[in-house]
Amino acid sequence: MRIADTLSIPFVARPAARSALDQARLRRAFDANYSGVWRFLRRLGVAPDRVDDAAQQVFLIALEAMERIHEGSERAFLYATAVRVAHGIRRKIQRELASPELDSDASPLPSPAQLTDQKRAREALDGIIARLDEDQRTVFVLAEFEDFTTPEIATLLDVPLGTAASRLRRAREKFQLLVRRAYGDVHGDAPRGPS
Amino acid sequence: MSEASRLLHAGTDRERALLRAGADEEPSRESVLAAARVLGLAPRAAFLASLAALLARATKGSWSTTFATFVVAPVVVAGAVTVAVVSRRALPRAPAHEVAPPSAAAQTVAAPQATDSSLPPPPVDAPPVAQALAVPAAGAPGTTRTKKESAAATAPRGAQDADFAEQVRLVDRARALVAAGDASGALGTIDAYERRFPHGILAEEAALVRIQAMQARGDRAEAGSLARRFLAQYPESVHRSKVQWLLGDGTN
Repeated sequence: MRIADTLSIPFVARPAARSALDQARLRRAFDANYSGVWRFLRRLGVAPDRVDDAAQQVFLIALEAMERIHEGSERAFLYATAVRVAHGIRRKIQRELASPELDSDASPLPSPAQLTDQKRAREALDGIIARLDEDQRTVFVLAEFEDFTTPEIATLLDVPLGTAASRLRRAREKFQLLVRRAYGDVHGDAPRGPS
Repeated sequence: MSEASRLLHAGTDRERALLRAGADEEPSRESVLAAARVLGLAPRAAFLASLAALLARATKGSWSTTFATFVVAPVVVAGAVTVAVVSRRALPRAPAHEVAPPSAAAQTVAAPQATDSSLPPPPVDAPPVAQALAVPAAGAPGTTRTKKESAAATAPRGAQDADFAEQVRLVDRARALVAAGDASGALGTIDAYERRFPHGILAEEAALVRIQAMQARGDRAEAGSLARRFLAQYPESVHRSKVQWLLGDGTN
């Protein structure tokens, strides 16, 4: 199936005006953001076998829209598009989405020592992130992994700053709670800094 | 504000270990290359070398710098396949030293003013970009002229240049007309291109523009038919996924 089918993309049928300038901008945007967008999609729950396709889709959309993207806004556009692409995939194939259960035998939570095994740690992480509400997950992933500031997130998602801030705060609290619970650790281990 | 309290830095050991695992994940090299191919972006090194060579050639002949940046560059970035064909069949050999430093090439590509691409190119008063690009680069393999390549250049150099320039001019004009909303004008230009260059080097690009023009005209049936023909005719095209996408035929 095609990701484009899952989305309502208004400019699909629009003829492309692909100037040298657009191509150069795409090149720069691609070099700077492909890894981040790809990782972002993964953390939003796009399955490993779909993420390449999804990331390509994000950049194809950007290519088509490039002349309407303000100079300097490429990164925000790409991530905002990735949110829509991931959301479209989720809606369309919800049951296929990987949503690993934390208490599943197939995917036991790694011990603290095993957290050094990146692959297992990642599986555990994604299992926890998957339990956040979709809105919370989006702001959490943007802030924690992609280093977006709260104002940037508000702009990107087109929500009020206060909304973005409260979502992020709640997302962090819930994430911390889920980690503590996952390890049967009611009090949690000691935070390093003020929390 | 948010960055100050990132759990990635300020969380507990467990939180940080989990988050770091997520933050460290990178796509495979294959993933990056595949995406670049789909987007028509040649691998970076090949892209820069080809761009430099084409720009250098462009300014030495009758073509203008503006022409090179506005017209040749899109052709170049249309993909490694196109580039390979262009440099093999249409262009005289490039001197071995025509490899650009990345920064110079990037600036050059970014240099054109944000002009509407449907407008005719502005008068030529730009500095000779190719000279800036054609900085000798030590140890640039793969750009040396080979005997085989030299032998491949059969037509007189001037005639080849003029031919190629005219082909690019027509296809780019058609592209600009589509962008400006003049689908009929674009189709007329593509017709002219195909009459004049029945086996033109840019036939693939011309076919793509024709599909876009049909879509712009609202003739979806014809656009779909052309798109399917395109996919059959150019199974290896760098534009393939774009055409599939435009077609929306579910095969992507």
